[in-house]
Amino acid sequence: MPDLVDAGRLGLGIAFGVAVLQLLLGLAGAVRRTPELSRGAANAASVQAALLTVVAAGLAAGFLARDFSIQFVADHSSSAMPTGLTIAALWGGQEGSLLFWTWSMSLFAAVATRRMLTADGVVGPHGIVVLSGLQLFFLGVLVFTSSPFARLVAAPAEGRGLNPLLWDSGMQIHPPMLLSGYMSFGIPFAFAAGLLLAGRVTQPWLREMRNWMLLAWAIQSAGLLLGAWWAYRVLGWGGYWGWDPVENVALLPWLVATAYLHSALAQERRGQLRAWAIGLVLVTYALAIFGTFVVRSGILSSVHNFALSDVGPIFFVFVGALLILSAALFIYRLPLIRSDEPITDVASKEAGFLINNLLMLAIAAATFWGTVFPMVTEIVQGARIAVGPPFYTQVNVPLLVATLGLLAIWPLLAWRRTSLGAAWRATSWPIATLALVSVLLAVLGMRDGLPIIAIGLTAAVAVGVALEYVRSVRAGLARRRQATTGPYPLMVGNRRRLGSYLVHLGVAILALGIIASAAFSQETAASVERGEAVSLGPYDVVFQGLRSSVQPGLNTVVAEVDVLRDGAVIDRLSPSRRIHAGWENQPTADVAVSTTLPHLDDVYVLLSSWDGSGASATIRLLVNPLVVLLWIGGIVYFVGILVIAWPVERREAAAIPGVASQPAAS
Amino acid sequence: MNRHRAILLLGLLAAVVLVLPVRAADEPDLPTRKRMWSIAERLDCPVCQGQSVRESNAQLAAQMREIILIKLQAGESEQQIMDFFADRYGPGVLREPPREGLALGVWIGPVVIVGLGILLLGWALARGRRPAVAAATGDLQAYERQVDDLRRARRDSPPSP
Repeated sequence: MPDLVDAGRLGLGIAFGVAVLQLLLGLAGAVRRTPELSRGAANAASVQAALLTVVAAGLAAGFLARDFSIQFVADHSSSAMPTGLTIAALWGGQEGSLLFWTWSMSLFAAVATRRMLTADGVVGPHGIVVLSGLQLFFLGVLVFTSSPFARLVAAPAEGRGLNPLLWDSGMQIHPPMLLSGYMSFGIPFAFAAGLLLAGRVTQPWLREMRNWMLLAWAIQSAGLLLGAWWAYRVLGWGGYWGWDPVENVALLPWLVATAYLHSALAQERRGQLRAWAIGLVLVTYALAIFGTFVVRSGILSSVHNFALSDVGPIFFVFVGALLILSAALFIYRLPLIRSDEPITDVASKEAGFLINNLLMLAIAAATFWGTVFPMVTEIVQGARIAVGPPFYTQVNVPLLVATLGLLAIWPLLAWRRTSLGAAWRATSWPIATLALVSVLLAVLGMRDGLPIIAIGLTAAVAVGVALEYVRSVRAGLARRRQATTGPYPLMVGNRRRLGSYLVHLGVAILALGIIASAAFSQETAASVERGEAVSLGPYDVVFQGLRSSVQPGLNTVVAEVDVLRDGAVIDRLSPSRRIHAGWENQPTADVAVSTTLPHLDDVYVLLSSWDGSGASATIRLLVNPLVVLLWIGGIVYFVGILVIAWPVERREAAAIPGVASQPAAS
Repeated sequence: MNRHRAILLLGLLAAVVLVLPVRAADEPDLPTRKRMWSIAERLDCPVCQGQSVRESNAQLAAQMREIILIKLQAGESEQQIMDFFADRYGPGVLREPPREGLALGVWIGPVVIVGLGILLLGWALARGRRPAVAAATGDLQAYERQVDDLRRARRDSPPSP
């Protein structure tokens, strides 16, 4: 009798067939310049998306039905798991996460192939070929080396369950975000490679490529932030970023994509940096695949070793082939795509983009170097040295502070060239803010130079953004007074530009949270009897006793603690430990965090250990100032991206007589 | 108008400054403990993947923190303690790569990268300045050539909105 395993295999088999057909149609369409064939390939992409949706739903159904005859289900779930988590177990291992990747890529590709054909009838078919090739590769790996539909001949009565560290609501959102992020860098890559293959540069194509990169970059940003949030709440070490190899490789494509998004602006507005920007798209995807390779192969020691598998070598070959082919194609087409429009003045917006690129790429290169260096020493010396956070902070923090400085000044400058006087008028407030805040901090007793300047810079960025918005509102008011008909927008200005400023503000808020928590975090740990307190600064955490709850397959020990500030109770927290059946040696922490107002300190309480009678426990207490700004800054950042990407009808302003020309903001 | 702007900005500044987390100096009776955490931060927990002795909640990490504290109280220097753990668990427990031997490479790499990047940036900006230089030196032919180049480049490049 056919069952889910058979159906899943059949579905994947058909999808593979469709993918082959899609690539052949795409190739024929590009070579013979027949639009019908290319449209056929786009249709095949839609069919593939539909098929893979059914297959993914089938695996999810297998999880929900707790069909332990499917090996992947038996290995990554158990009947004790709640429903939401059971579905999330789909990406709890190599095979399932590859299916998720391939499936989400097919959804993106179904849309992207169509947009390629409308963006440019000549380049489009070439882009479709590249995208179809990428899809076929992933589907091939899925079908031939790591199918999630392997059958267990003797189905066990109970599954092994998920690693307890993943047993958390964050599991439902962080991994799919990062997988989608890695995956979606493939779409702009297909645009870039298609352009190189076709040997033709057009603005609609470049714009479409930029939009897809913006989407991929936003998804990756969300994945990174959610990872930080999850680490902070679940891993229980009081931090949110550990310069762990897997974190680093996820950061790399984000950094290079950030560089691209800025140089793409110079490309769009002034025709500068065109070849450079296209090169960055290629590098971004190579780094995304490199990241996947690192995560999957486990060649680097990391907290993320959940999804180890033997597909590492395949990805290694893939990333090598990608690099060689795209480098060859890039060099071959360089005379065609390069733009000779030079950047003439260091006091200009476009010079700011260049400096941004320098900083982003330097951070990326240093991080890459530190991440792979242990492998280098292992090969050369046979012994692996550790490259840990002290390296990354010493190398990257100065670069990040320089980035803040760039962020405070250059966005306020004009295109092309800003005279010294105009530059001073545009930036005097942020510079004054920097000076004032730094002096104040020094007077208030801060002694470390770098954090002082960094905090001053975040304030300067905020002031610069506020100024831009004040200008925009003022222009809107002026227009409202003048206009007799038509809409009366409150703000006047380029929506994308205003959105970018919001993203910058989000980054500044985030940076303030990072600087403050890194510079002022305090921690202690103590064994206490019931009624005793662990104290740190103005805070006392009083241990009020333990309680435990027993569910099938899961024991939970909860400590009740009162949080006091200056002697007054401000909160009650329940840090706990979960002990899962089958994972007894790995009791998982549920950290309890209380964010105090108005001080914005995170009081972070962790139950380390306890004695059997429940009379005493070891409590670990951290006071992390301003960590909450990371999440607030993250929200501002995404609001900014929404403002940038929000679809509106183009150029409605031009219809209003007399107000079509706006004063150019300096 | 300018005064409004000043008031607005001062208000904003005040808000920013009020939020800033300026902490009093560390409690004087805890310097040893403080040093313990700082050393623990620079040691890798040998049994956990990718966590430091400070961060880890593993038994071994707790014991290592205890050992650090005892050794500090016995008057040992930070270097001696680091060496002790490096002897015991191998050089892989040191999270900060030493600035000597092969490991020096990891420190030199970023310096080289940033240096090259700055050179490249300077070159890109200098390239853009050349027309002005030619005009200033009075070499009319070179200047005209460059103007022609620029014109051609402008024609080839797509119109900017």
